[in-house]
Amino acid sequence: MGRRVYTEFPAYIRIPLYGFVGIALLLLVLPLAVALPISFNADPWFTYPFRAVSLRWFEQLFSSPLWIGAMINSLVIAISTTVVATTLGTLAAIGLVNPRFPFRTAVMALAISPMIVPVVVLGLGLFIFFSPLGLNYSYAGVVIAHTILASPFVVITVTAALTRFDFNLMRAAAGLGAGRATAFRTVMLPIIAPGVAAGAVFAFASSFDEVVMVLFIAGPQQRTLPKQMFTGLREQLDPTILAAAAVMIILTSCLMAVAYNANKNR
Amino acid sequence: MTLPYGDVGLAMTQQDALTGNIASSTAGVVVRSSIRSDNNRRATRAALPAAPLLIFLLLFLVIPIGSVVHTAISDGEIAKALPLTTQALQAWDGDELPATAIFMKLGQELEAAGHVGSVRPLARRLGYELTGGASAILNAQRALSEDFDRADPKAWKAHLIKADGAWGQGGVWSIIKQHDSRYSAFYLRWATGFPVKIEADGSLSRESSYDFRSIYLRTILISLVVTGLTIVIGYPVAYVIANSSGRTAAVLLFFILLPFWTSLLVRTMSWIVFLQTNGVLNNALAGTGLTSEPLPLLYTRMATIIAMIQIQLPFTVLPMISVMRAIPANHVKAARSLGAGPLLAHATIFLPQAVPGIAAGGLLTFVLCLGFYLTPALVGGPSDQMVSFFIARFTNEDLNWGLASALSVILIFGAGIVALPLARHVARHSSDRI
Repeated sequence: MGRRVYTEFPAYIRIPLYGFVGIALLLLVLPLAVALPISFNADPWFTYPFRAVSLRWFEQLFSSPLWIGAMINSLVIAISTTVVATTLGTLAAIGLVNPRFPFRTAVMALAISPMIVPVVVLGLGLFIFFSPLGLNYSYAGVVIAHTILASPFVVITVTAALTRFDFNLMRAAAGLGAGRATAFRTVMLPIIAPGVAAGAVFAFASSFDEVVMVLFIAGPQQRTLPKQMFTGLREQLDPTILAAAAVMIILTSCLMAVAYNANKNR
Repeated sequence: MTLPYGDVGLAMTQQDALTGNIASSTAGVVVRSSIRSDNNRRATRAALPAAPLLIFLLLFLVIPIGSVVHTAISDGEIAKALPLTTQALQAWDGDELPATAIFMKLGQELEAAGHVGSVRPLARRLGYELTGGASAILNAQRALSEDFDRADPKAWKAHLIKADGAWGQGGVWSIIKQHDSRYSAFYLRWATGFPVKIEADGSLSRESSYDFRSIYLRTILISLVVTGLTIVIGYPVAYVIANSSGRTAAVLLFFILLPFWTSLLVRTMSWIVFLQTNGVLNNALAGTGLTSEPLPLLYTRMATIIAMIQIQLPFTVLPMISVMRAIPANHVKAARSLGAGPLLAHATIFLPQAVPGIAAGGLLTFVLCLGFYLTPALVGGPSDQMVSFFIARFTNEDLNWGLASALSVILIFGAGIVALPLARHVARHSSDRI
């Protein structure tokens, strides 16, 4: 991307403009930047300055069976969701980039629609649909619900990766005698892997963060980290919640950074 | 993969044109139909990899939303428990009490309903539409286990009216009469704010219900304010990012993407820590001596709107950037060289070309705002709750799925109208979204 300059705004416009943008961006990250370090405050207060710094809230987080259980649940559900959503989404993207795909635009809109449909409506729908099937209050039910929400991320990132993919390579592989599955595994998949990885990371993060579906579908057995945080936020704000939030952010942003770099280096 | 089949098809058409009537010959038909079936086969093969996701979406997205619509118009509790009573009441004119035979029928059907466990749903359903409706059913049910002359219809009537006075008035009977079908617009009328509840004497209930119209209005209003403000804040941000390059653009983009990547719940939580009574902002204000006592910042409309803006800003800014980057820089330069001032050139040349991005970002933000649940629920007060909050509440706490579904139907219908142009945009630009 070369440098584009649309207008050389004179200084009397440029300086207020940059100032405004600077403040806007600062406000965007300020609450997070202010809230998260409080998890290191030794005192159970949500204020600055600290009298002492400590890791006691993290200790509490990792020694409470309730929080550990929630973290394990979140990991199990997020990993299952990632596997299912990445598989379904990658395959669907391969179909959707084919110009022969019937009703391509409409199907693409359907595949992306979970991003736009209000989550409570989806939650209610699944709750009603699941109740005769006995899927409410089950891991399978939560994973299905999260897969619905996560699959658009995979479809979008893999579609983007595939638009840069040279389909002549697949023909070359076929010409050399590879079957469709072999060509996919040995030629296409390695090339689009960064896109698939990015999709998988988004899928993981979306499931790991998700709380509304959990409120509708999950029972006490499937209490996840966000659910535990949500309950805490509604009842009594406690610095352990901040520690949990810090853990969540560190985990997801590390994954995001990996996926971002994998895509950028291509 | 374009193997020569397309060319064969083309050659056939040309040949048809040359020889005139070859298409009517058997050979032509066979070739044509085999080409068509080959095309069908190719379309099927193209669609095949997408089949698992499509089946998944059909099962767990389309059908569940269909069942929300179905639940919104299903209203079968009364018709199911009292089919004969409902049928017999069709001939009733509503001026005086129904015939004694109908009382007996009602009593018998209530007894039968007690055996199959449909009394509670019946009582709850009647309670939605009639003040004291639930207890009318439960009291009658209880009284039927007592001793009375079961052979005499008059005894049934006297016994039921003694059990609950509602049976001696017209209201409850007129409701039962209406329920000859398993479907009705009752929940949709309720969810659109029409008065649906009556008193035992048939007059409109004075009991106050949820004012759903003002809840929709509030939902739309908050969404509009948030959308407007994200556009006003997002436009200069997008402009500066689109206008910068290399490292600067990456750093600025990072500031946009960091909150975008961060959990919605965590971002909402950080606003709670920031704004609460003993929170960071209040302490800072008190520390500088600007305020003597903490301001009520959390659980307000303002907190809701600010938090929603922060959450939505990336969604508004990203489509704007991608559209702005495609605007040729020469246009504005040309305008400037023809003598337009910097602001005039921007407003007349650049801004109009950025409108598709503004529209896409704004629409996306507006649609997503309509469905907001978490943020208003955590940082808003009781009067800041939007439709989604009530859907969740009626589903999980009140167990009134019919009303929750009706509210959902209206919400997705409204959001769908707004989202239609958006879907077209997303389909066109789906590859450059993230």
